[in-house]
Amino acid sequence: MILLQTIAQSPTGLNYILIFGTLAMVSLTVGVVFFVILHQRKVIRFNEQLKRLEDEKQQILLNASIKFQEEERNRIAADLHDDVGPLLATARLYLNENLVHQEQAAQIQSIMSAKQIIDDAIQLIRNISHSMMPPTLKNFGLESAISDMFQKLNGSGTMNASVRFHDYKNRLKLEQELHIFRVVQELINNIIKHSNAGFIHLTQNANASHTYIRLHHDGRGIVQTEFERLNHVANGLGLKNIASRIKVLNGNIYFEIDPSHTYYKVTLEIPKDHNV
Amino acid sequence: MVCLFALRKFIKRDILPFSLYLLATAVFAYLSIIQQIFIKSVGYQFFLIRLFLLAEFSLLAYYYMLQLHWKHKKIVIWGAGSIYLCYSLFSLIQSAPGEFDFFLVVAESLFFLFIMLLFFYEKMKYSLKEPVYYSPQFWFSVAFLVYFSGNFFLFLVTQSNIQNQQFITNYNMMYGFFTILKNIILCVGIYTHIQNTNNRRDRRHSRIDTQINLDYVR
Repeated sequence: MILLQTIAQSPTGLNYILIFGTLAMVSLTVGVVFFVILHQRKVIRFNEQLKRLEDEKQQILLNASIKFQEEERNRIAADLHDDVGPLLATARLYLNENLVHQEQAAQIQSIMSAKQIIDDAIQLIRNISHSMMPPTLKNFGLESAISDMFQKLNGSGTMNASVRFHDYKNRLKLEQELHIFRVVQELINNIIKHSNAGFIHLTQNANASHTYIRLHHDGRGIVQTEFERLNHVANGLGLKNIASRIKVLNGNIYFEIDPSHTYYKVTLEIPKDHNV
Repeated sequence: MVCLFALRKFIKRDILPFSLYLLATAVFAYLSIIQQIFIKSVGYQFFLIRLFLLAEFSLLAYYYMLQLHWKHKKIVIWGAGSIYLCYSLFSLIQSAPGEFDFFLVVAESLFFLFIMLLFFYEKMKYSLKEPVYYSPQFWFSVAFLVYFSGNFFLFLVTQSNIQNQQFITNYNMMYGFFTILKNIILCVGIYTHIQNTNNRRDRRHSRIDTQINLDYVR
């Protein structure tokens, strides 16, 4: 300040200080203001873009889940219409009004046939209802339901399937178990359809806050980036359905390949105390 | 008059210090006019300026204390305010009646330049929902930033050139220019504030056409 005041003693020095100093300060001010405006606009634009992408992703997941639900309803409707409907109609034919005019042997024969058809219809309805909510899952829990599923898989003779539950003394809520079961079911379907795997192994473990389920298989699999990409493309409901179920569970899913490159791993991380 | 008119629109908690600042500016302007017409005393004029500077410093400092998020803001603003007050009193006692200590305005400019830069930094960091120029606080800060940065060198060299008539003419010209610029930008801020208030009022009402009958009919 003293130096400035010394220079400012001469009129020329004073003018220089005033002009250049003030110009520099004003330029700096204008620069700062413009920088703030431009930088902030850039950040806002970036945030909006992120939000839009997130919204689009949500929309795709929602559509997928609605579509999946509709397909499921259509399948049930088709099963009821194509299988149960004709069976009951046939049973009705056996039990028509002419039955009373027939001989006793023919009557017995008709009744037995009708009974057989009704039994078949009951079995069919049971199968449909089981496909909606597996009774093993409802009555005995996730461990039994998955073991049951793996046993059937093993029984087919084409694949070596095994299950190991390490820590599942306390069951999760039924809704959580159903979502996990459906995710595992979908993953296994995918493995059977696309991976050409020779073995599948499922391991479960837990800590205080989370339950973990890991599927290993030796077929052709996907990694996380591929899962994200496939999840964003419009077609293919399976992965989107998995993603929406995981979102409902507030969990995470990780698709990895083992460092030895001999098998793929899919890990589900599910929080225990989450209300679905 | 402009200050008093704007004051009507500004009785709100978050910008109350700014409203009081406008009031202080108006009062100071009236007192200056009265002084120049009736009293005509340089000593009295300088005393008024000292009082105004104190009011300006306190109100603006309090205003920015409400605006900033910085965790040390209270310590810095209260500390700087106390030092400034002490120095003002000391300078008032020490100086002769016809003398003015320009270090007061230089210190004030430096302090507020720092505060404004901090304010802009925070705006960049936290204000991410709508463009910064939609907020009246941004325009108020731009106005003061322009005012303090434009006049900074002027205040810095005035003390040693107060006797130079040519310099005083230049001083009045430059000071006047930056003050007018500040006031114009403040008006933009006031306009933005009024626009925002109107928009908020509009949003409170439903936009559905009143001609459409949406009454419940049994």
